Amino acid sequence: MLSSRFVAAAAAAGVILVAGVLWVSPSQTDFAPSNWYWDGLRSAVREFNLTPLISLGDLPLTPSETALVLIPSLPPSRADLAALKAYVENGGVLILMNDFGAGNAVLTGLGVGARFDDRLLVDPLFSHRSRRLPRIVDLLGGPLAEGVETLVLNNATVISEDPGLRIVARSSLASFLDANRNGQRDPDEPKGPFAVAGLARVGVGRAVLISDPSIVVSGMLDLGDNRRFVRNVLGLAGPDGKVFVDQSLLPRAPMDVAKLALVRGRAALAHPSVSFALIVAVLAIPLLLLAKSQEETP
Amino acid sequence: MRAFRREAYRNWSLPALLAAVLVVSAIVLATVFSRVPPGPSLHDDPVTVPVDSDPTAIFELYLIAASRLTSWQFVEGRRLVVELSRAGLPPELQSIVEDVNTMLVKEGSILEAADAWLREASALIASGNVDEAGPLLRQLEQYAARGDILLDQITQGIRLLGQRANVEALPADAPARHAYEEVQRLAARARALLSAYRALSRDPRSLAAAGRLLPYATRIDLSVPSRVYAGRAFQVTGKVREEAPAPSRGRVLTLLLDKQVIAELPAGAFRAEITLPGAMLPGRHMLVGTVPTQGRYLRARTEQAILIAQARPHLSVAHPASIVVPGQLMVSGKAVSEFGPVVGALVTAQVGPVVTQTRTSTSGEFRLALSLTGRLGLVGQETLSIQLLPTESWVAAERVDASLFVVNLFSVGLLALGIPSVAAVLVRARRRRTQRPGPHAVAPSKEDVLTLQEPVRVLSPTAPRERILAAYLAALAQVERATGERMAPSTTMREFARQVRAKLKGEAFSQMTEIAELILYSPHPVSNDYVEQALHLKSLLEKEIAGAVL
Repeated sequence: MLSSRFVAAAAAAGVILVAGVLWVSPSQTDFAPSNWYWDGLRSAVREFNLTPLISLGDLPLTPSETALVLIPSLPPSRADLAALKAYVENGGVLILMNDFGAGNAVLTGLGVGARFDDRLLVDPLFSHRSRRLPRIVDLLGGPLAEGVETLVLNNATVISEDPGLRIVARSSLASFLDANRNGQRDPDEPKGPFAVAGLARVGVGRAVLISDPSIVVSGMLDLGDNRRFVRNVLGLAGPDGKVFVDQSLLPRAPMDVAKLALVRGRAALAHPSVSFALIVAVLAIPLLLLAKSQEETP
Repeated sequence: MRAFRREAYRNWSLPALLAAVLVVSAIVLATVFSRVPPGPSLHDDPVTVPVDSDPTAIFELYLIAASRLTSWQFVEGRRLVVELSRAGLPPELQSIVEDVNTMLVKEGSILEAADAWLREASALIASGNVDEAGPLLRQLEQYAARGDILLDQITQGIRLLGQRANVEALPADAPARHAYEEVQRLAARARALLSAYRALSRDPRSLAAAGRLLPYATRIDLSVPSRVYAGRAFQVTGKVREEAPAPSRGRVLTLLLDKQVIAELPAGAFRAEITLPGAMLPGRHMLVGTVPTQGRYLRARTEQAILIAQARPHLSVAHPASIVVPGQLMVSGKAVSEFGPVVGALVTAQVGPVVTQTRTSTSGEFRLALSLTGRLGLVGQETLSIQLLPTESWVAAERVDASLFVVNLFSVGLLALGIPSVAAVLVRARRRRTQRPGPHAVAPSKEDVLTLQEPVRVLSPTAPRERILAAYLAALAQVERATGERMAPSTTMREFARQVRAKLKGEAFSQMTEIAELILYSPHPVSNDYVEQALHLKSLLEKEIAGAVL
């Protein structure tokens, strides 16, 4: 008959096997840091050394020389908004990439007057293959535009202008806002140029607004000067700065929920008190076994 | 049958368990790998997205460019044409557009040069220097002729582009079609202008008269410091110069930084204090001054690079070199920059996970106290990090790291309690081990180790076995007295002999032990030789012990 110990060991092996497969398998969700397909952030995470953040409550208490990439597909909670406000006001750099998500809730929480429009930016002339992938050729200067001549966006929106917002990039004269998404410019649809990237000061920190999070996915980094622009923006954290990428407000499939649970478990095991207990157990168990065997020896 | 069933169970239970584990794992993974049904598309795959650009949209931009070129906005017009090269067009149209753009840029340059020569020649003739105006007029004529030819080519290129883009299939009121037709009309206007230039170049008197009718050129002289600070005022001076008999009225000079308006000043001589927005990033920026067209007064534009800098503050910090935890760490300091004390800046002090914040005073000073609790991780050499985050955008952030030695009373206390406790536990455990009988200890039988607590009863003192045992017991008692070692109940005779060997000079006791073991365990009768040997060894032992004592 199989002993209970053996059954427990087999069950534990099964759990470890499942956990291992989940850990190494890539997510297929848009913007997921572990997603290595064209619509994921895996390339950006590796190239720019981004640190995934599973909760906005884990933002550093001293945020200067750090930046946070935030793609708020899900609406932030009050606690999230409070954490973001404290982060930016105390010197952090918030890189808010939003098109049709919950970016305006974040801007309201920060007290920034600019807003993301809800309409699709279309450019029938300056584009990459499709008019829904507009090519931005009007970079307004400054350090963020250093070495950048063209950006390529992907199903983007625009940013309303505000006195407190320094515009960094604008769409072309041929662009327009396709409110009904029919691909054609109707008489009541506004014509460009429109702001697609801007910079605002919040407390002693800064908020960078970009009206398209797709600019940082793996399939888009190589288009235009997207890579250089992203590098310039992330460089606001400083030469030795740490850049975080938030996962808590990204869309979640069952795979992402499972991976998040594993990451949380790993973080719990890495807690100093748990690590200490594990170290003690690892050292104590062999010693106890040794002592026991010595007692049993004639 | 029962045995068969048991055997079958033993053979099949392990594979069944493994199969169950794999099946459950597969079900869990299949559930997790299931993808959430996709919602509205967030983005298109840039590699596979269908091509759907609209090349006819280029005519609206050509119209704007042509309007600028024919209204003396030569630089702006050329700039827009150059931008059109970055339009995303099908390859068969791209080459046509590139040719048209190249010719348009040249045409713009020709128009600009012709305008400049026309003005210069007109001014020379008006002042009586007709001979000096001659070469300019000849160049003007040549350029006008060249511009005419180029205009023909541009028009052909635009028409070819229109055909390939199928612009005439668009509705008559479509913006792109309207723009296409307007561009043709502008080309005609440009042709008329060039014809006028050629005619004027041949008739100096008409040129002098026409020169008085030309729009007035405008120039901007702009002077700014090469280095400015965001949020701090700096001075801009200069002048808007109009080549006109009388100054314009109401024109405004607009100053833009990175294409965004920062100031508007009356045209003419100006001096202004401008404060840049605090959101400006340090680095190189472009300051542009523009004046719009007003009647015959042409627009003007100038640009100048400026460097937006931040003053680096000096942060001095005072703190103790060491601290006892739990306790309070007092840190004080001062922050000053080239502009004076840094006021209201956020100062953050951190030691390990403990963080405290305060603001600098009006004199730039700060003082804060970190309450360091007895966290186990806070011990030994630690880093005290002080960060300064100014609210003024013209002062940069600064950070100072200092070393601090932490004496953690909790850690010391734990060590003081822990080490003795562990030692006590180990000693106690060892004592129990030595006192407790081992797992293989067997209760001694009558013929094994002799009990020493009471005298042995010898049933027959004259029997050889008993005489040898009596001699051994007497020797044992002597050895115990002489060495101070006691033979424990769990110790065998041989073990005891080994135990005391080092304390005895000779081997007499070891040999007696061997004989005693032999007679105890051997089933054969004992001869008198063994008795004599045992008695001899006993007397030897007595001498050894006596010798050792002496």
